[in-house]
Amino acid sequence: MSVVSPRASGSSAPVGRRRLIDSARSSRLVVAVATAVILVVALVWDPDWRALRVVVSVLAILVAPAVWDSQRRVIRPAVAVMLALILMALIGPLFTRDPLMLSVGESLTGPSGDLWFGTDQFGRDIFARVIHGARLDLGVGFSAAALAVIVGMPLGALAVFRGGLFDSVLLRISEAFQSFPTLLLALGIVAAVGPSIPILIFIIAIVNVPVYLRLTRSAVAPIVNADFVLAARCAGQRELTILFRHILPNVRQVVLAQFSVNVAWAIQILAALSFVGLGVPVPTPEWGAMVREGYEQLVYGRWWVSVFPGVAILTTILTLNQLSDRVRHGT
Amino acid sequence: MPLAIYIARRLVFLVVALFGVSLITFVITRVLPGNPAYLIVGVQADESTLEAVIERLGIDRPIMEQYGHYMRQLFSGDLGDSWRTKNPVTTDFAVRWPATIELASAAAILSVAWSVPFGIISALRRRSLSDRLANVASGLGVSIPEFWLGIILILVFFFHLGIAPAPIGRSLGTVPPDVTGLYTLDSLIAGDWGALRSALAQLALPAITLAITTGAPLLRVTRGFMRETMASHHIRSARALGVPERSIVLRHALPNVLLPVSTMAAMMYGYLLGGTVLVEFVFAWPGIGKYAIDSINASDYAPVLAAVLLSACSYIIVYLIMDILHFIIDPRTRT
Amino acid sequence: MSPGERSEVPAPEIESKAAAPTDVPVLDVVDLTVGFGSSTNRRSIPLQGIHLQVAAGERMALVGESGSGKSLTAAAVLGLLPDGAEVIRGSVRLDGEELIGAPERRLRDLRGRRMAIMFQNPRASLNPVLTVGGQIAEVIRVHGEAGRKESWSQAVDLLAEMGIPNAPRRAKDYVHQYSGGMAQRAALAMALSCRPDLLIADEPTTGLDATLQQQVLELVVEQVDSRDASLLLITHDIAVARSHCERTTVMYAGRVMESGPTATVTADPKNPYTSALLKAFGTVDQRRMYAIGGVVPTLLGELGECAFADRCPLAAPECRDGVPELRQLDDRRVACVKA
Repeated sequence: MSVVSPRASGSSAPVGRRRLIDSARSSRLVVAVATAVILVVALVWDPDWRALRVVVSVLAILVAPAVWDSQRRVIRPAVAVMLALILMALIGPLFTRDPLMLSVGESLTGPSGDLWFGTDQFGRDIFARVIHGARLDLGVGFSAAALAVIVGMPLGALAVFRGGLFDSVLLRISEAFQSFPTLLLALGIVAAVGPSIPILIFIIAIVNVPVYLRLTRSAVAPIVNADFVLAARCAGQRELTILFRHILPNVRQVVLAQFSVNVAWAIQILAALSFVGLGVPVPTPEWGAMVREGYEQLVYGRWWVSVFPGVAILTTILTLNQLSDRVRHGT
Repeated sequence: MPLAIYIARRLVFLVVALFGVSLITFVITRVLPGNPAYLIVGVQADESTLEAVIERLGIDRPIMEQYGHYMRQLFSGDLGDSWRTKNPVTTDFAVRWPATIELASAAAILSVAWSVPFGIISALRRRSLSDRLANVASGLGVSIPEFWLGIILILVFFFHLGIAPAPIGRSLGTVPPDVTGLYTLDSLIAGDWGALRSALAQLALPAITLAITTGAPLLRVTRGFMRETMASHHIRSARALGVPERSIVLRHALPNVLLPVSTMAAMMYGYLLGGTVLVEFVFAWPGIGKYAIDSINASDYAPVLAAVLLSACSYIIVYLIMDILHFIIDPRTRT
Repeated sequence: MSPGERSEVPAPEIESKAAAPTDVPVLDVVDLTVGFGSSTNRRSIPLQGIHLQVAAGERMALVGESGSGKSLTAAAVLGLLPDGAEVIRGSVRLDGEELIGAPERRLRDLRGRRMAIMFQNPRASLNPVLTVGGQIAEVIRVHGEAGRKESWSQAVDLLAEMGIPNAPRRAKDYVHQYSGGMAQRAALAMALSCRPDLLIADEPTTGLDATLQQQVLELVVEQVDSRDASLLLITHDIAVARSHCERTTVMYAGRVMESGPTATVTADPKNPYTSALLKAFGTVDQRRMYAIGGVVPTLLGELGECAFADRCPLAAPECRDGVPELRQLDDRRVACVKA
């Protein structure tokens, strides 16, 4: 995935030093993000923590260079915060209290040195719940966005490749999909099918597929007739090989930037669904659901119940958006 | 291309788009797992009503026939009944849509009012204070979940500062006589200043919440287009021939920026009109969005589906109107 | 005015030029040096001591490869350097008036009125959402030449003069309705609308069809001559310089390599770079395309040697001893130790 087609770089104007650096950088980023995605997804389905040690060490080795900008000698804050969040999701739960532990005596106590974020109405530790929530929100976010990419990107490229009726039908369908407000569409489907985490991932992915489809389509269209593609065709390579080896690697920067934004959207949709009571089932620590629980406590001035999970959502989404900007501008 | 032909072509597109939208909603109800009859009548319904619905929907019949039936229903304006309110969904919509329209319009006006001028000013000078501020504002505005922002605003302006009214819907006092269904307009028409104040006060926080979250992407886009335009060749030419900066910005750059920005704004308004689900929910605003959520929570499915359909349609129609307006305004479409 | 009638070239020293007020060149650029970045953090110096004089009614060609600093010179003259660039030293005088350090108001007043420019890619240099006539009329209006109505009719007249058929109607059209050649005519009309003393034409025919190129160039020359204006024609094509300009200045890597009457410069180049350029653009009898070996040096700092030394067929050790001075040699000036 990280290898640009040799013809891609060979056929264009002389490759300057600067471009080489950029492509090395972005491939490192691709590796880092891809690993993170796979591992986070794996971990969500691996509650026994078996993969944990491998995950943390591999992750540290892979992403360390992405954090440190050796040219400008600064730490990239967005990357660093994102890693901190992922790390928090991975190993944070080991160091907190049980997020589901009820404690009637301690219900609705404000933030203190002992309970940093206070407790909710059932006396559950909000700090523990926010940390555990990271696991769920990031896990669902990454999984849904990854699923949307995996389906949308090849479809978009194929649309250009095949052209004709296939292309226009696909385009019309995705246009129709995009005229639905994402949240309302997700609401409608959840209401029909019923909420559960795999279904939520599936639904959030579905409503985002058209985004990737159209993005890839517009990115691929200008290069599908580029010389290096024609050359590959003349060399008798199979269409699918051309697609995966020569075309898709060239659109990965755009897609990667979109991916980051999309994880943010996915988290926002998940949180929103849970907020209105259609997301994850009740006691599960999820940020949106926690904000909702806190909303009911607002009347009594207990701000901490909804403010802290909200800050967690905001931080995560802000970081992902910043990350996307960085990828888009190649820094 | 003459205007009439253009409009005709766009209308064909509209039909295609609406067809696609109806297909998607159909797929959601009929093809996805789960018994649609339950979705339509609700789980509490007894055996006989259930069978009546199965009969009416024709669920036992082939899928194409079902789709034909569904389309016929749509064309006759039948969006089904809500068993929760015991009304046809269209009747419920007629009562609630004005609330959504009022909120969406107020939010759209506020949103454009802060983001577009800010975007233009911040684009004029790189790394200036306004540029940095715009960076922060758009970054935060894009990232903040609107339901949480609403809660924070309530916390600050209602609980702590006490300058905003309680977030419990459209009006605390008397409701003005119904003319347009928009409380602000109706109270203006009736000359009832107390009602107007109350309506505006209720409108303020939800509208501001939406204006912040929808304005942020608009700010980004405006700033991006403005920067691009200011760096374009024709601006360089105008400058090189001594056109003053004021005219460069207002006469040369602005029209080039406002055309694409207005498309964005229209899309945003189209989405808002379809129900501002989260904000309506947070502020107990009795519009389409809240109606949809309440229906979902009561397993009352017909209104949900209708709301989804309506929001897509309002988006498509607003977009279409904008498109036609552009065709009329933009000189590049003239030949 | 033919090349032979040219008066004496102004002497290179600054003092002697100010001495003769009657013979003040329209444009007088002396030792113009432009750098990117701040004085503490200089990133590059793309113009290194440019000397350029254009006399009244004269047509001067500024020739060089892309990246040699031709367009940047024009931008510096107009006071429209890109963000991050600044004039380090030197002077630019228009009719004897110093422009470096002049207030923006004054510069704005001079732009379009006393000095004007037309760019390459004419369709992009006209605003897509304003009428062509309206844009020309605005330039006339902002310089206080005429009121609203008068400026419009002047704009229409100008368009007609530039050979645009049915000008009263076409003035109301937008640029997307113009062909490339017509757009360049309109751009010329706009540039000449206030009868400037100096017209800078920055690669005016790049991007036009070969047949149009000749027409547009002829029109530019004809219109500039009929207004007794001076022309600074920026081009990478030395053949264009030869057929349309009395004098030629050759630039390379932000320096002037050679400057003088076109006829002598092209017939008997004294700077090896000029010869290379002439060869590269090929005389008819040449079989193979000639390419200058190597690449244009990046201008990270002021070089302490001849910028062309790395690619020069005549390079010798003394070429590396310092920046070759722009020396007077008969009727021209050359920056080459071997000349």
